[in-house]
Amino acid sequence: MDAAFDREYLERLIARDPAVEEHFVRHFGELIRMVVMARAGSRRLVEDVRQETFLRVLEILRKQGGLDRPERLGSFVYSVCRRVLAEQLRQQGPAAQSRGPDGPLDPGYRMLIDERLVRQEHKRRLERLLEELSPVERKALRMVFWEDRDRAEVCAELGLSQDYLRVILCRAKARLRSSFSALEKGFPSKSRGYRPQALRGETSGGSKITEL
Amino acid sequence: MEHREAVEIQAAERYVLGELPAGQREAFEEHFFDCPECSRQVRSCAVLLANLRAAVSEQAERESWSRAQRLLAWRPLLPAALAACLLLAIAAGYLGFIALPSLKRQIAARTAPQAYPAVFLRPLVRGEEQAIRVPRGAQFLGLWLDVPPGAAYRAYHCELLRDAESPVAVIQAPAPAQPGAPLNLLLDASRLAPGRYVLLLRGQDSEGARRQIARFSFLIQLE
Repeated sequence: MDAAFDREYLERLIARDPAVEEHFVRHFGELIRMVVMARAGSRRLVEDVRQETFLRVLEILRKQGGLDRPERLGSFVYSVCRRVLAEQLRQQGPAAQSRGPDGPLDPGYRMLIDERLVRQEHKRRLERLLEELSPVERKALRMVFWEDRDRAEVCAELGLSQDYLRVILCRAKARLRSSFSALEKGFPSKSRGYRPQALRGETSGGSKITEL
Repeated sequence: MEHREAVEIQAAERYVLGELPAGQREAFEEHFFDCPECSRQVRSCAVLLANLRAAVSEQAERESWSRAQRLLAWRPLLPAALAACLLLAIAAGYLGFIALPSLKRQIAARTAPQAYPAVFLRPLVRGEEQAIRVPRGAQFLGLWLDVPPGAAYRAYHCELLRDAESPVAVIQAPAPAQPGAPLNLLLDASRLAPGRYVLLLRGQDSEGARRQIARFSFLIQLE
């Protein structure tokens, strides 16, 4: 598969090209947000980790003059983000102190539900999908999302497989495939400025997304 | 993690649902930071999940609101229902706190061992009236009837009349065990208002036929 980032991207980032900087911050800012939120992180933690990660990454890149493998920029950002997150978590409590900066980051890993991503038009489409589910599946979703019940407990109670939520998610993805480009609205790669080669195709009517 | 493996294990869906074990999770995170397709998948799944939850919650809210509205449709009957509940509560309170304790006290007073006044009644012979003085507050009044000699009856039917016409009590009594022994009656003294009374004594034969055999007249006085 194509690499997302190239030497040109890195050079322009180091040279403080505003379009590339904007893309870098939006693209990785979103990914860092997901990583922190998946660990029950607060908004403040998300912001702290993002700021510190960007600061360190840009400082190192400018100091070193780039990376030997520009296509691994993402991995590099992740390793810095991971270290920053571990440091922040260590500061938060004694339970986190036992983890080293490279140890597993697992403070309350959970479903990645980000209310910022809710859009009226997506909800309407999903409501139609909900109507087609069986009463048991609808009940299960209600128990998990509305009553905040434990998923394993709900599955045991209703006699459903532990995978039911993933199956429903896949079904929803398949159902919304044709209009999936709408879900990408506001995704960082849609920046009007510079985009790396591998990300450029995303804006052409969601052609890459429909490959799902 | 390789892209192919991420696709095979549905890593994006599992990641968003919090189902990936720690090692795989971090390997996948490192991968999707590099892989535009997987980062799009994660993002899409996160959008779907957030909206799915919002849709489910909205639907549940709507359902609970319509249930509440159905309940509110009964609102015009609410005052009547409340009034009925209030009346029921008052009745229960009256029974529980006033009537039942009073009844219990009365039963206790009636069933406690006690002395009671008793009078030997003579049949009315020459029109003279026997005066009976009943102590105020007495629970019972005993009347001993002198059964006229003659044919023995299986049972006796006693009818007490106030002012010679209003029936006050009817007592069916078996014949005394000893021939010539008086017939003993026990009356509720609290129900005997002061005044004139007549007690008609009838004998009842084996076929159930009754015949008046004596008439007792007396005057109740409270003292």
